[in-house]
Amino acid sequence: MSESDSEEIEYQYSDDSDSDAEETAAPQEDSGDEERKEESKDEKPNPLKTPSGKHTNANPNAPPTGSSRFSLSPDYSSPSSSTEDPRLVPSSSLKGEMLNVLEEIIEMLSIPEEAAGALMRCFKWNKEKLIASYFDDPERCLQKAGVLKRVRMLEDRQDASAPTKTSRPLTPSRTSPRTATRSTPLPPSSPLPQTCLICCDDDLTPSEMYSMPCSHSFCCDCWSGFLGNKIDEGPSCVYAKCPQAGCEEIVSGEEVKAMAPSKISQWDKYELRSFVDLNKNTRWCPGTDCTMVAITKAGVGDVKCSCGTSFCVKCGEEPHTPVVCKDLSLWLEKCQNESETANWILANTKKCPKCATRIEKNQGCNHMVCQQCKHEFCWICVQPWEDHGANTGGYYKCNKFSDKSNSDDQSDAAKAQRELDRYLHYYQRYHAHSQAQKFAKKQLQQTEQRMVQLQDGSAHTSWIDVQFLKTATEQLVECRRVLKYTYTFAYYLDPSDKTGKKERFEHHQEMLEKFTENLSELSEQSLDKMDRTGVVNMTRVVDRFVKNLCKYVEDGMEIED
Amino acid sequence: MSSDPRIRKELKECGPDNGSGVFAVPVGDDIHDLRGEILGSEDTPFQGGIFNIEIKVPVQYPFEPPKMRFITKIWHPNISSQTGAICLDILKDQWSPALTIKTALLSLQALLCAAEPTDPQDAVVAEMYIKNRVEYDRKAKEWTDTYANPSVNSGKIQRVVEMGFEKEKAVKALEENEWDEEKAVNALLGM
Ligand SMILES: [Zn+2]
Ligand SMILES: [Zn+2]
Ligand SMILES: [Zn+2]
Ligand SMILES: [Zn+2]
Ligand SMILES: [Zn+2]
Ligand SMILES: [Zn+2]
Repeated sequence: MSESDSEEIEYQYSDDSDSDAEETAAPQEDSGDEERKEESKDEKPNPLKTPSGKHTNANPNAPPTGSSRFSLSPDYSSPSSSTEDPRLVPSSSLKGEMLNVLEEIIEMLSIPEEAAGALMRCFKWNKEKLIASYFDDPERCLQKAGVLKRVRMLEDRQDASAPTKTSRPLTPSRTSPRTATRSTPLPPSSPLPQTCLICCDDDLTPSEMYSMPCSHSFCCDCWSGFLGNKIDEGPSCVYAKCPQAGCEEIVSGEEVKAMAPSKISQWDKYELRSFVDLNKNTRWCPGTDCTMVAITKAGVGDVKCSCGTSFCVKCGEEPHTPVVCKDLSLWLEKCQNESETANWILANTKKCPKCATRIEKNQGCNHMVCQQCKHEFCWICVQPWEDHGANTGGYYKCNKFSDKSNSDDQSDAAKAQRELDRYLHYYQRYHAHSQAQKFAKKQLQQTEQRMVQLQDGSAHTSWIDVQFLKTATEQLVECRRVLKYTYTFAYYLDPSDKTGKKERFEHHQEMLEKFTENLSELSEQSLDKMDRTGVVNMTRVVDRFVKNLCKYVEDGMEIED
Repeated sequence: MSSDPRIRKELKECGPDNGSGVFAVPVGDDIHDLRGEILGSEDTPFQGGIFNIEIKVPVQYPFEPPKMRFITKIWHPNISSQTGAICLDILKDQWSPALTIKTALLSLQALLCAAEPTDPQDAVVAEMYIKNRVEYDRKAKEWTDTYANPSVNSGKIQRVVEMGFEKEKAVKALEENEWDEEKAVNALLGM
């Protein structure tokens, strides 16, 4: 989806029941514009009105062409889930959907079944684009998709059955002699031995030869070897061309069925896979070996699959509010490039700044307490923890990047050093929350195990009594994830911003960070010492802060709450 | 299907002296391991050069393309000056089983006549090709004379080596002194 430059922001909390949720329409105008542009572009050629004669009202059920993106028909989903967007379905259930689209195209353009798949793939399953291109210049459109000969051959056959119809001018393909295929072997009166250009066997009978509609014939063994090899190579086999050098005609299921029948089920699988891969509105669940597919109309949003994987339907990464997909991919690439530089800073142990005892961070919280000297410090900046507290009026003061170096030095080396420092500042915090997120996930698993145990036995605490802890830990995972991406987001904010946007964002971030650390500390206590009311309240508070922060970004960071 | 009958037939048609300016022969007994030869075309910096090509014919041949690499060092935007790796579409995704080893070698010969600097294999060479064509032509010719021509520069190298210098140092000194034997020898003697 990288072709889209739109700055859509994915709002994970769009279902927030907040009454002012409607106001979010304005900052979304980027994506809105794009949508509108595409719509008007695609509205021009209406296939049902084009002067092609025979196609008029070919398919009265064809959906309106206004929508630029191919959307899966609404009657496909069950009524209860039809409003859900995005939603998840097993990939096998998309086969019918794919065939429906092909059916429509076959009827609308009067093309052979075998040509429809290649045509749709060529236009990335964007029906409207295909139709527009076809009625603009059918010859070029069919040529581009590699189905020209296939379509013309069907027309020739139709012409043959209706010999009075002579409306179409002769095309070169019609005059070229059609060599033997299995379906139309040469008459037995011409048993000239034939040569296969692949295996160089020059003593073949016409019945041992086969060709696609482009008439380039090869022996059946070579066809079988060629197709088998292409299919074994993987999903790209659906783009295989005729074995003749320079021939642009695309292989279809017809040839596979005829010459490599044992591979047809694999071929069908790759066709379906390509349907999901190319479609703008579908995305495979990135979970290992998962065959679920997310379908989306709006093209944005987060889903949680039954396999446990959550992902952004636009880019396939873990949900990443408040960062937009484009910035996230830039960030991930940068992190990969800088990984060596950043590693020194990320050792999993740190020395206590007071007594120099090595301390291993094994919990999610950044509030470290040295076992040796009881010194309290911040894991990220190694400053005393009290400097981060509300009592000093500082709140969580660790999130702002302050350029301490001599910024008067304008040499390239100094500039590069400052830029690296700036990146490391954000990366360090991004990474710390990422680690804490992993820790919270582990904690969540343990909590779930504990709940199962409690359900089985009859301990002092009942199952319902620890439900609050599960909710709290889930909230914690969520907070860490959002916090992690707030640093990616902040990295891409204009560092010289004078409008106060950045400052306000950092304020929200700081608040969320502070309360997340509080919740983390509270929920890491052992069960018997745990302040249950405190945890429940803090979970609510933190939930509020996550929503505030996301809403603030969603509103374009203009409105203060 | 075994590809061996086809390879044998191909080898018959593209043996030495077939008149096309390219040929291929097996290195040893294995017909999947071939050595090809291309003559540099006239009116190109590769004129007079004989370029050796390593050809590995895969088991899946001809459904998969033969793997080719320049053994002779060559200065060309689409061929690595370090490894001899070739960037040519028909040796990759544009391969068709109806093509042959001979047609592939002829395509390589054509590539030497018309480079594709926008799809380079060697970025350094490609940059020179685009920015300083005169210098590119000079260097390509120098490399042809040095590495691909048994008569011109190799004679100079031979004579310098016979004076008691190591071959590598002799080539370097000659290169640095624009193939002036006397200057190169003086440089080697530290004069
Ligand atoms: Zn054959
Ligand atoms: Zn063909
Ligand atoms: Zn899944
Ligand atoms: Zn995304
Ligand atoms: Zn200590
Ligand atoms: Zn700190």
